[in-house]
Amino acid sequence: MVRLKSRYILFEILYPNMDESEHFEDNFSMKNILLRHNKVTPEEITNRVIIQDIRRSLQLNFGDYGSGKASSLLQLKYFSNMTSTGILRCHREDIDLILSALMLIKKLDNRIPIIFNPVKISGTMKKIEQFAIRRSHKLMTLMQKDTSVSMNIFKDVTVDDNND
Amino acid sequence: MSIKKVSPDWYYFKLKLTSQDPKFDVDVRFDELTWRRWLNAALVKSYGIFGESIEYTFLNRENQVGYVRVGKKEKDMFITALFTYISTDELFEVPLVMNILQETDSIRSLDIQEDDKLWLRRCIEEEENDQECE
Repeated sequence: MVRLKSRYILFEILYPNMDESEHFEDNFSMKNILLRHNKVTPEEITNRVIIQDIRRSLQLNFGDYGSGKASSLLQLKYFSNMTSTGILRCHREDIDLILSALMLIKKLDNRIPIIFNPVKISGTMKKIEQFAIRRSHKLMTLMQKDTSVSMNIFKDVTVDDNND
Repeated sequence: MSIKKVSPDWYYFKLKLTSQDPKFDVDVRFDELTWRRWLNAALVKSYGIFGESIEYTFLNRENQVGYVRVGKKEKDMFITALFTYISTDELFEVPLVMNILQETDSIRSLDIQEDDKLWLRRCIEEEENDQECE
């Protein structure tokens, strides 16, 4: 008997800064850089909304054929509004279609501008979970370090100093 | 020395755009824009951006009957898209469907009328020029 092969995609939802008036601050801390596009996903964005948007993107960009092919096994296994991270399950052969569809989604629920960032693809749920946990730990460790970089230090650099 | 390709890259279709209502079909005239919009909509609906990228050329088009040239590798997608689409009121006042009257890989075997000989001869010449490589 042929086993159904599937792939799991770990993704995060990024919220690009659409506000043009917001300028870079002088003091860049690691925390600010890492969390620049990360936000808590609003409560009204449920699993249903996300899967609907992915299906809509598939239909819009890959037509009846692409939508029918890729939607057959498409499932949102997990999504956390707090971390804006989720796990998608799809058929192994349709991984490229799904990734392209994710890339082509610009707005969630037709109003919130977002970027789907596929972080990792794996063949088992266990591995993807372990990776997600490791990644979160790494992120937390990085944020806790006091590695603030002051942009002011570059103000003293003159043209003569940069003669390499 | 000139070499001719053994298998041509193109596939040819004789198509008929129709409302399937004989009374309506007698009076109506479809322009090129209607044809193109119908074909594009059909390709997009079935295959999305991949369908949209399929290249097709009108060899000749007269009201309801059109001769279209498509890449050989894309012919299956083209046929599927044409068969599975019925246009909406947005395109025309009545739903339109496409009938495939003929499909062939040889331009010479296209089923034509006496009036069509001129454009067909020109197309054959162009094709032969394209196929010859020096």
